[in-house]
Amino acid sequence: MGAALLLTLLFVVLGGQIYPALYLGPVDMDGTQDLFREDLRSQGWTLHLSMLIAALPWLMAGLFYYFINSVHFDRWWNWLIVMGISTLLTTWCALKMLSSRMEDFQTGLSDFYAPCTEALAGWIALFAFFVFTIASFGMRWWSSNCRHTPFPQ
Amino acid sequence: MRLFIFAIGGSGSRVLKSLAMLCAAGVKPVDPATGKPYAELEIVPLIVDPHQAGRDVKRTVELLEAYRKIYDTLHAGVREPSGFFSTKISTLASLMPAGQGGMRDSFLYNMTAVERLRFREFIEYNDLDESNQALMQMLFSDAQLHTSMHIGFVGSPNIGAVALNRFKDSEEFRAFGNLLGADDRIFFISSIFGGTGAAGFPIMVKNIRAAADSTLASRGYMRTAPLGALTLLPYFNIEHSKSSPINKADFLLKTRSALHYYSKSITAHDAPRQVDAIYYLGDRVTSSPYVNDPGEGGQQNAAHLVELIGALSPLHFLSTPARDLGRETLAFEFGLEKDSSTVDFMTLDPRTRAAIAAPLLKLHLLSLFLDHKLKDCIGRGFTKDSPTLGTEFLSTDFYLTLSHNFLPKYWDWLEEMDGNHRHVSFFDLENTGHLENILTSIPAKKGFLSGSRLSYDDIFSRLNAVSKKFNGKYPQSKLPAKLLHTFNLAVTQIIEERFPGIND
Repeated sequence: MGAALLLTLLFVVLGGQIYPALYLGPVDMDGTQDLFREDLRSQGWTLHLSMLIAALPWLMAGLFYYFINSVHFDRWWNWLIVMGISTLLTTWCALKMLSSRMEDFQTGLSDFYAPCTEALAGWIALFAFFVFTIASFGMRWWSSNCRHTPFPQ
Repeated sequence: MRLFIFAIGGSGSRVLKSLAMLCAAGVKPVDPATGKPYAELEIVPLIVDPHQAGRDVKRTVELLEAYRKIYDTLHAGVREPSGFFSTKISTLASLMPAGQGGMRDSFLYNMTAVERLRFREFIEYNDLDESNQALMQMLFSDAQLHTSMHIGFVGSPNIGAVALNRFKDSEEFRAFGNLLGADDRIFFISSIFGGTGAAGFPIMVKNIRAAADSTLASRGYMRTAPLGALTLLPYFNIEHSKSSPINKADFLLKTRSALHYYSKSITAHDAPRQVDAIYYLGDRVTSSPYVNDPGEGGQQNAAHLVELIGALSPLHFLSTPARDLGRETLAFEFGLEKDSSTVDFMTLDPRTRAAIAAPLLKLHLLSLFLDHKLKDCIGRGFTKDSPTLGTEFLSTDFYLTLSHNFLPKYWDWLEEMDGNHRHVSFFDLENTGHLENILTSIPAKKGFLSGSRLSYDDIFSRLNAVSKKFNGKYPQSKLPAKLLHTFNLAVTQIIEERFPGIND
């Protein structure tokens, strides 16, 4: 549990360095990617993204292990379903949040950054998957019915 | 502490079968010294029946063997003081130091010397002088003198009394005499209206009490050991057969004669100490008529309520403080809460219900769970806890003995009692899915989230919760013990929550 929390915290703290360094597709000639990276950093959107990507998978993992916690829903594919939902939900929420922040900053910015945001969505989904997996490892121990899902203790 | 049980005749075997079922369910007597169930109780049954090929005897022996096998696996190394199969059941031979005794390791009293002979050969009739032959002709009918004893004493206690007097010269008697300890007790189970039990009980009691003058190691205890007995009065009906010496019309007559004899001998107030407590049990509502078969196969009577209640008598005897024994013979009877042709848990008095209802429900749920759910659980939940339970467990000797040998006999026992008269209908035997309706007389209370439904998944879920506490606490070799221990704890919780009325 401690290690999982620490890894998640590191992810939140290092968000400022991680997002701007991500590959967002072939380098464009008009410098949109650089502008996007700069805005991510300078407007503090990375912290918001990191916190959301950290919180939602943890919440979904908690839902699976302690709220649902059912012998009807304790197989590895049940975990995979929740992981899939968690990943999609986190990605959708993150993009919505990012788009909203962009529009608050400057009207029409979300459309301008749309190609970069789409490329970022893949990374967000990947992070959400990793965080959900880490959260599952961290919190499954005390679940009565799902503590061995998807990996035996 | 040990309880030596001498189960005489067919009725003795059948009561012993019910006792094994109760022990499997975890029914235990209360130790009067501590007020808690006996932690280390060992029952040593000896079936005394010359008709050793008889179906009732065979069924009981097979059941006891299966019980012993299960017990040995569960309690190897560490002895669980409570729960399923927590009472040790041993043979006399298994208690003897290696190489001593020379007995076969069996729950049966070896009667080969008797069973091979006709009664006239047994008493060496041809070697008697004329006057003694005349005496024998007076005491025994021609048919009795020609009775082949390998089919028992077929309703003739006068034959049995002679044949069973050899008990004092047997290996089993010597072993028992050397094993009996200061805290141990002795119990007899027999019927009073047949041949073997009616004859064997007083003779064997006298043999034991008289052994104080022998050279046996425990001869002192033989005179003073607390001795109880269950005497079954007529309770079953039997088909009329002209060719059979067993006749229902004789049951009451034999009972009266035997009771009269007992009152003058083994339960007499003015006689030297014989029986400390005697339990009389019978039923005026007689059973469905059984097939009258005194021959090779012998009787196979369906299990009956009287045998189940009778099985509680040795447990009650063990709960009786020693200070209450040893003076006049205590006599006990049993009555139902209401006289009904169908007996469920609510028909029993609260004390009996409290003693047997919850344990039997646990055993019933165990049987259902093993049959209908365990396979589906493998690879999930508690089965992944250490020690892990994989599919290979289903082919272990322990599992096969429990689920393919012992528990089917438990179902036969329930079905026979259900089909008999009085009907014993504790459980809805057709119901293998809706566990909330499993008890015929006590509906389940609604659960917090599950409503009124109680399913195998509820048990599975509770097992998961309980098993977590024992993760890694048992070595792999103790997997059977862990499974039964956690199951016992899980269903105890479920019963307390969902069937709170069961102990009221």
